[in-house]
Amino acid sequence: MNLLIDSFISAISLVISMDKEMINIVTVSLKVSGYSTLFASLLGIPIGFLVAFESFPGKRFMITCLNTLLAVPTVVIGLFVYAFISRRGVLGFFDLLYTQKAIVIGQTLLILPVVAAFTIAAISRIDQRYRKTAMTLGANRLQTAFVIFREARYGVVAAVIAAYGRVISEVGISMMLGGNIRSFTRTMTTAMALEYDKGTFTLAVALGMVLLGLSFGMNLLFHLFQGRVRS
Amino acid sequence: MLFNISDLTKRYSDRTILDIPALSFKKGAIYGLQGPNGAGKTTLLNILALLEIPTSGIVSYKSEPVQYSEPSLQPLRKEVVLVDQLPLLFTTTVFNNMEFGLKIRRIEKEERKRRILKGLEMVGMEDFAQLPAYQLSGGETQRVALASRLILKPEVLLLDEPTANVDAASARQIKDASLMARREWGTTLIIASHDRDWLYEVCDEVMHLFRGRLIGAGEENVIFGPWHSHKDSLWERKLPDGQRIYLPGAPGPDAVALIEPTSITPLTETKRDASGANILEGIVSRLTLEKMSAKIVATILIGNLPFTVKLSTQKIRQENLYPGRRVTLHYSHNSVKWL
Repeated sequence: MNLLIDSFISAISLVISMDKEMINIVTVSLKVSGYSTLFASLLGIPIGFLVAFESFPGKRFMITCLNTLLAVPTVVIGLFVYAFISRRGVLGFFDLLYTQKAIVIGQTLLILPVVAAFTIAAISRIDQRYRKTAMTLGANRLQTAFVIFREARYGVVAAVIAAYGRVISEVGISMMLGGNIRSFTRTMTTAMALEYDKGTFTLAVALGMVLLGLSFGMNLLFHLFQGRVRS
Repeated sequence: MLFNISDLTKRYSDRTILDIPALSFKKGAIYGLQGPNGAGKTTLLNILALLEIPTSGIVSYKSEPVQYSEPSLQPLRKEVVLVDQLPLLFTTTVFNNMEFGLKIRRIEKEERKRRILKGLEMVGMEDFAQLPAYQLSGGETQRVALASRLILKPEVLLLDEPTANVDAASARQIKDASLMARREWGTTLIIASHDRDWLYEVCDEVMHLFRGRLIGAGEENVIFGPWHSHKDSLWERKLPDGQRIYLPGAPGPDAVALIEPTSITPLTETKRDASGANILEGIVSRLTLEKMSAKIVATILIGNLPFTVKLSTQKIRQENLYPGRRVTLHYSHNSVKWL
């Protein structure tokens, strides 16, 4: 118990003093997670929207595949991307392994199905009468799509938040593709895993607190958005 | 003609929802569509609103056959608008909802504002412009939905049961605003409604849809089975109040009989024929002036089953018919049609 309390007190002082290493780790984490969420959203939202909005052969199969990919372990993605970007891989000449870019690629692949599947769910839940209303008011396909998207915006934001939550807390991809290199690819989760291995809990607890704080901040933003929509 | 329909069918899987060999709508007229739930009224309105594609047949708008491709349909949808039975408003303010269709038509901002205020005034909701749409009641939603269509000054306004789910005050405003569109802009109105009195009061023509088919002018008395075989090749159906109606030539026990309202005669002094098989007792519940024929449509309740009888004002006076008066109805066996 003493260990936990001592670690907690030390962690608070580390957070208050804005420890340089801790700030660096948090910055790397936010950067890679932010980029991967951005890229996954740019790809996943249109994919999800098109799958939900359009009718085409194999649509159900595609939704089933996306739902299956939601459960893929991070280490599987890590291995998959590693096979491509390692020196012997087909993309080896880009020299991406153990870089932040590698983490972003892996994390983007990890959450792309999350964004797409949740967007499909959000769009599919929208009452079909919205489409009918837009069409009878004279909207073309693009304008109708915009109406549907606007009505589903809360659900789409939830998809992005969920995806961000998945990448900020994942460890497998960051470790396998980033290599946990100090001041370069060390993220909050890989740093916590390392500190645990070393048996020094202070930084791990401090980073855990920051992670929880960030998670809380994101949820707060989400609720603010929800409140704005409701009003 | 504004709309011309020929050999139209609409099927979902193996079920035929609509089967209309020919139907026309004139520009500037008001049409009523009557029929029980599931008769195909909504499907017909959706096809006329160019929101559904018929399974077969040709729909012509302004003498041009409708081409079912998005680029061809979209300009037509700007002229033909539909108010759903349960309309939805977008999750934004009433003003933004009303502005949507105007923006699509690239109407100038000032003109948009002017039309929106006029539209809200037409449905008695001037003070609701900045209110979020989700705060409106069902009747208010229906009125805003109607107003947002009216301000588009459509060529054709299709109304699907516009007063079915609203209170009397909202219904009145909806009815008045719809008629104003016809008066001010010559909009053709096609109204599906169970409100028989309203339809007969305002429509130039009322049509009756039943199981996807047009069966007449909307006034026919529809009598469902079960029918039981009776003597002299007559079929018998027991009515809710215990009286029996006898008709000849039913194709089966579950057949549906149609009796023309003009073939039923009210007799205040009972005059039974020899068999007594074509007489019913009832009470006059309503008298409505029919705009298109200038005749009186009398609703006679037999038990709780309404029968429609169409009479001249002279006959009404002669028989001294008024709501509450007991009458004997004599119907002709020759005018019965079976479905």
